[in-house]
Amino acid sequence: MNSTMNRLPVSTWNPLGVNYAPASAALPGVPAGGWAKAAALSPALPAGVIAPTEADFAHFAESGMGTEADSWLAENANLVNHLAVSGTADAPVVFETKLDADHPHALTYLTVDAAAGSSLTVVQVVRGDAENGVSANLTRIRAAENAHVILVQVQLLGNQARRWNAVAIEEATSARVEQVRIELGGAVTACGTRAVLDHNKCEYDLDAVYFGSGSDVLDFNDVSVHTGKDTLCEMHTAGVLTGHASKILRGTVDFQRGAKRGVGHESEDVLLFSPNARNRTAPLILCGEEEVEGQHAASVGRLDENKLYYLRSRGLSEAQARRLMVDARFAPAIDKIPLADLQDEVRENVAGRLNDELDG
Amino acid sequence: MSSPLLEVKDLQVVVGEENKVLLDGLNLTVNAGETHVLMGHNGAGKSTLMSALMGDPRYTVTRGQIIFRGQDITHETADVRARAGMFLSFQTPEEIPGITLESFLRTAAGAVTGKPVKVMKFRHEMAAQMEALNMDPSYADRYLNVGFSGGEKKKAEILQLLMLKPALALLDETDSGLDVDAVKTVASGIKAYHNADNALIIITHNAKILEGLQVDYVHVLDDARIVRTGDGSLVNEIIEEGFTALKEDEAK
Amino acid sequence: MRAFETEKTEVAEVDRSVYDIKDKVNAAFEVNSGLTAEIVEKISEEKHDPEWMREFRLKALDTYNKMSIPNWGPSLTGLDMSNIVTYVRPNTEMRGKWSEVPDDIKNTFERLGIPQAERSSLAGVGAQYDSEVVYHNVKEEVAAQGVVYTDMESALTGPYADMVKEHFMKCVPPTDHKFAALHGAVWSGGSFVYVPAGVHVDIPLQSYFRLNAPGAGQFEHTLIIVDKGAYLHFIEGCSAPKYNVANLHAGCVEIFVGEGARVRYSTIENWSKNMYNLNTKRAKVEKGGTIEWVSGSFGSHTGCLYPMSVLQGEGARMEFTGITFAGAGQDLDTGAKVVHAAPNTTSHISTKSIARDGGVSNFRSSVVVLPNAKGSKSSVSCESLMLDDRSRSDTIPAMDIRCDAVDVGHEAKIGRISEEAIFYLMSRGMTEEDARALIVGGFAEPIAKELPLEYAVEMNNLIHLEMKGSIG
Repeated sequence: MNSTMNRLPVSTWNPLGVNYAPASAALPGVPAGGWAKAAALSPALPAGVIAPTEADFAHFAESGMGTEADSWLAENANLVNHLAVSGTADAPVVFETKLDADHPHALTYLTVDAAAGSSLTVVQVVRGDAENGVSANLTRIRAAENAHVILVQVQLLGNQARRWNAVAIEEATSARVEQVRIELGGAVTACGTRAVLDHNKCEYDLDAVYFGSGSDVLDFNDVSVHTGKDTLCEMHTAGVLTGHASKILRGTVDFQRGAKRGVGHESEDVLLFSPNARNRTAPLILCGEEEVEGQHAASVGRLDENKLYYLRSRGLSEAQARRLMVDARFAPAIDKIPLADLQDEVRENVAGRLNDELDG
Repeated sequence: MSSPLLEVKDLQVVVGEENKVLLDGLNLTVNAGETHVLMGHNGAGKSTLMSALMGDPRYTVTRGQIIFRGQDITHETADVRARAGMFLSFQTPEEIPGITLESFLRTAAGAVTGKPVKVMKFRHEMAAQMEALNMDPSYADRYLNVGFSGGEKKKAEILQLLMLKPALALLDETDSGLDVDAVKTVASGIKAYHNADNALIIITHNAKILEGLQVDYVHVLDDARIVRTGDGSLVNEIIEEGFTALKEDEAK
Repeated sequence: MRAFETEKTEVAEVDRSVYDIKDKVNAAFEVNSGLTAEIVEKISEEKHDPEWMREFRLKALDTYNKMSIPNWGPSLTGLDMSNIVTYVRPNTEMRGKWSEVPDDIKNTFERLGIPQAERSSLAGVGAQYDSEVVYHNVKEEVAAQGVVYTDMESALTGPYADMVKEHFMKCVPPTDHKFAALHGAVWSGGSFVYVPAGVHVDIPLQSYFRLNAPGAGQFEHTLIIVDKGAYLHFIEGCSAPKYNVANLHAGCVEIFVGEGARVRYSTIENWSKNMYNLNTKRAKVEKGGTIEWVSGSFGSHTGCLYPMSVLQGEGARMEFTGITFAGAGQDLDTGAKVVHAAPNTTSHISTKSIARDGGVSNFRSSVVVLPNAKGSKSSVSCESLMLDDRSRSDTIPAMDIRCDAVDVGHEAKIGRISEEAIFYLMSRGMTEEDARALIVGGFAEPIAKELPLEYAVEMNNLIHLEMKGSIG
């Protein structure tokens, strides 16, 4: 059933293997005894934010992972939360899950309903590890007129657990949704965000970061669909691949007819730290409208030797120099984390992974 | 005396979706052989007037008339005006990749004159004019304005003026962004162009570009219209004392 | 901007109808529509194939029957293979002199300017009329250099028969895709070129292909072998009259670039607007060799064209420069593929796409860097121009990088003609239509620059023809 997960919006040559997620990234089978129980999430809610027990997201747009994956994630979730916001929330709502031997399965389903003119920051943090651990998530965001939602996702899993992360976004006029997606751990990581910009002047921004090591499989599918006028999307990803990690990133800006004055910028910067890592990138621009500006850029390779040499001539060790260069690439995403402690934790996590790499 | 080269009557010009009024009730008459200078603070409507005269589609004429060489061109497109003998030196000329300056100018010359251009003759004349403007000959083969510095773009505009020989030249801050030597070169180019059969309308903040030209009229724009017209001496008066002093003068 | 110089005088003289002149169908032989082993056997027999080729065809037919139509790319539903006459032989024998070519055929070529092109410095013309080579001429000084330029049928049995057998469909195997298999089964006509080591062919070899009979497919095979240190420029031009029945072109071009050799392969494709152009072009490049593709796609109803370069020797290089212009009713899916299979190889892909009047102009690419290709560099840059909001232009690049010591870059842009630029040009006396054509011509200039002058002029004329009436 997962053969079409993370489907590239327009197919290309099959042998490249980028048309959809590989079988190794398929959604997990339900364990014989069902999913382990997870400790319920009840984060502190700032003024203006409520957590209703029910939310109507029945006919919601699909995520980047596709409708089948969305249904599966919603049905299998063992942690369901709904948020509704009106006005300006003065503090972020933070969801923290941790996998361990007793709680190896965290399947979260979160809906965010942002009323007109509201603003809210939601943080989803995933930590820990477990044998056959599963961290799955579906987040659906409905941003009404002039609403501003920031979704910060930080995944710091160990190297045993597997991870799926689907995000679906619908925006009304002049709404803005920003997503920060930091995926550092997990043996398998599959993510897909799809933003539907079908009203005028709405905006979607993505700052994504990934780190693949060992024999990790990483699979991303991010799509911004523009049908409203004066819409904007900025999708920028930076990643590091080491060991035998294999990654596919699909990024699509889809300008449909009528998306006048739409602007879409997309980029990926991949650092390869190993001769055995495999990087696949398919950055699409689909265009059915004349009056648009679309651009994408990708760069793949090792650290620039000249820069490395320059840094070393200033007294930095190779490891320090590499860390510095990775920090520079990851900074746009990490700097957007609204919690200073969490920022530090992410930086340390990245540094730890780089150290492992350099020592190993 | 024949009829004027250009007559602007009660011109009202608006811009944008909100129809913001930029010119309102402007009158101006220019005869062959004359040099007019437009002055005024930023946003007074100087550039708007030039754009409206040239037929920039972003500006809409909502009232009044523009008569050029006896023909009502108020609602004509820019190419019709160009072929009728009007020329605008743009403040920021467009960059057009893939078309060399020379082939562009030859096409424009063919369009303006309505006659096929003799290639060798054109090339010689262009080389001579480029030399007079201190332009590197290699610019002829470069794509139109692509990667030109601000000064090079302005020289390329004057080169076009000299090659196309219009009856009326509108120079919109052609001296801005130029160093002292370049202003001199451009000024001499303008002087070389000017004769008894054509006319100039110049926007400038700098008297240097007017050196060697006999300025017949200076118009001061403010609040969407011409508030004062004087002779050439007004240029230095304004440059030395500014518009505020001028306004205070008026108030007295 | 040389192409632009001629615009005022030449555009007016170009008459679209010159490309649409139909000659009376007067074919000596037509196989039945549809494709069976019997038909393939019959083709083989008619062509006096050597035994290995007969077997090759039958095996390819088997592959063809087992493969399905690609599940990606433009729709091919308008193609009905059972209705396509795969093989039409014109009523003429091989000719060595222009004066002996039948008048109706000659007239069409003359209208297309081919003899003129030949007179003006071309090495030879292998013009294919329907599926048979009707005219073939290699200038003596080129032959004296040891260069072989002949039709494929002659090459199969001539002194270079072993070389043909060794290379035929080794670059593009019939298993590559369904239409490559079809080609392997029914190929007919085309050119064979061999340039011996160290020979620099100064003048471009040129070949025109055209379809004539309604419903006829065309499956010409071009095999080019350029030995160590040699140089060749091969030009392929296409222009076909318009018909109401869907036409299929599934030709195949194989280029073997030897050590340190350089090959430039230029195409201006202007098939009639009912053609399904599913051509396969591929080059294998040895150590230090270079392949340069220059490709303009203007014609066809549907086109899938992605010349591929396999850089299999250290330091091999490829450059691809392409332009695609799709107007009403056209779905043109074009681009390039490259495989870096050796260290220090370099690829550079640069394309321009233009879509107008409801046309679809897509860019598709594949860059693969294999683990052993250390020190390789690849850059892809594509730019799309949308001329109205009824058209489409999708950019579908993909890269697969399996080596860390590489420098791979990619950039793409899409946009439209700026209104300010149009106003600027109009203020210099150009009509809006001319201003737009000029800007599109400028957009295409980096491609025109890579073409021989007469082709650059033809391409610019095509752009102007396409741009006529583009306003409103």
